[in-house]
Amino acid sequence: MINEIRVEPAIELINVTKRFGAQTAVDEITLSIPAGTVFGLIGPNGAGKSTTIRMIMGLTRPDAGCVRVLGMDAGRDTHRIKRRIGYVPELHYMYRWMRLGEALRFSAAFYPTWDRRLCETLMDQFSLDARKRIKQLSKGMLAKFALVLALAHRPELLILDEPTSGLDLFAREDFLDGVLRTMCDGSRTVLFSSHTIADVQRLADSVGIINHGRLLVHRPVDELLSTTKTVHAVLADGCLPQSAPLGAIWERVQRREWSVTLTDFTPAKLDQLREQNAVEGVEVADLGLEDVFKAFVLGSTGRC
Amino acid sequence: MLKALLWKDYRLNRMLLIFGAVILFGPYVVVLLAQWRTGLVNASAHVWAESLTSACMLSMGLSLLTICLLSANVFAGERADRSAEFLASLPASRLAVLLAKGIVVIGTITVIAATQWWVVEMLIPWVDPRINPSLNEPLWFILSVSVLIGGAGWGASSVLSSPVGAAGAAMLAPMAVLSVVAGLSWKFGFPPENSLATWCEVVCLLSGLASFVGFSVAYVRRRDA
Repeated sequence: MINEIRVEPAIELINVTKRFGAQTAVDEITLSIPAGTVFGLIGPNGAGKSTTIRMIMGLTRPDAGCVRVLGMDAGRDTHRIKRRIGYVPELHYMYRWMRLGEALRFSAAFYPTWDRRLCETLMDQFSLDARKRIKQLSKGMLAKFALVLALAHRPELLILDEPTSGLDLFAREDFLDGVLRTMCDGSRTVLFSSHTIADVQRLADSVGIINHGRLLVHRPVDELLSTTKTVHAVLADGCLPQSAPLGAIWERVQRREWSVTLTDFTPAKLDQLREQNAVEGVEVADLGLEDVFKAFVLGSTGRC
Repeated sequence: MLKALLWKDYRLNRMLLIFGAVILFGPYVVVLLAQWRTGLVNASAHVWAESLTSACMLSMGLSLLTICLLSANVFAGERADRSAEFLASLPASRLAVLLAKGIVVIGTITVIAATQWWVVEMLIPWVDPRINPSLNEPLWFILSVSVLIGGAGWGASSVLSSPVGAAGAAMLAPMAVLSVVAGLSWKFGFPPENSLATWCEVVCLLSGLASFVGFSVAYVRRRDA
């Protein structure tokens, strides 16, 4: 008999719902992120990314469902979980009057695993001066300092909530380099939420697209890109599309050109499209992550 | 962890604590300077005791302002600039956060109360043993109002995001409590007029303590960070 060893996912959300009054911010999300992987969470503004991350961090509790982080209940074991997480938020509300050195010493007091040498290395790497006050830092420097605070205790899970938002190109590059270096140690799980699809594509092993609080898709990036295609079909004169193949997530008709984006694309679906619709010619186009993202989001809102 | 939180709360409220020290000890310094300038250093013990009494009255009244501002700022100050969000992302237990803030606020109230008590009960009678203990009643009244203001400020600060709003609530609390007690006495004859002051002190003290305890429990037990 072979004993099956079940590896606990780093993050597990089961039917998680969060409402703010009448508004549903997160709607029955189920998601599992394996340990040691990099997961990119993308979605438009107000999609529910930050609320999801706040529930994972234990900063807010779900109205329904269960959030488990590193094998623990995010609502009950918040304190223990936070010790093993590094968190970089979009907006940095650190104590602005503190000097960087003071902020490091203050933060170090909360983490038994704080690594002073790693902290010094990261400060040097990002050219951060410990004598400066936080209020004197530029936005880019502040993001880098937040990354130092998040990494210096060697967290098992790194959560980045739109960390590069509003950064210039150089600051963004420096920041992502810092993240990439820490990811060389493959045992670390990274949850990365961003508006910048290129950043997600660069870092993530798998990606989740979220809109209106619902997780539309969760797949490895390569698989998502290789199986999501847009079919451009030329409709016969005077005809309209009759039936889109199974897995159509978004479609648009402009004069005689019918564009339909399909998930789990197979040649059989192309045959099905030809059989059920009066089309004169079809062309299959590969998509970048940004196009896939747009198709899922527009499809979920019913927009063309 | 507690040491780090205490250092942070001290630094956050440093200006208020300095302000508090100035208005706690300032009146006594002014009295000393005034005596020296007017050549009354060698004045009788009675004059010294009278001067100390005036300084103590002023110090007691002004220190209510310190307690009000400090207790109102203790939570709401961090919420106003949103640094509370940074604190919430750290693995600091709410109990430790509460304890550090409690030490700063209750410690300050204790220092103020102990100083005033020492001046009224020990220093003034030592300077002039024959002086009428005219400050005893105001002392206990102001100390009970201090606890009420501290408790109300603490409670309002733990739920509001504005230190100004919390300070306003702290200032209104004694007026509200004293109005209710006086209204009950006038309408129902209870508490009786001859013990109204004592009743006011007891109600202020209990309301302040209840506010400290009640809002602390609510802070620790609330759902979201």
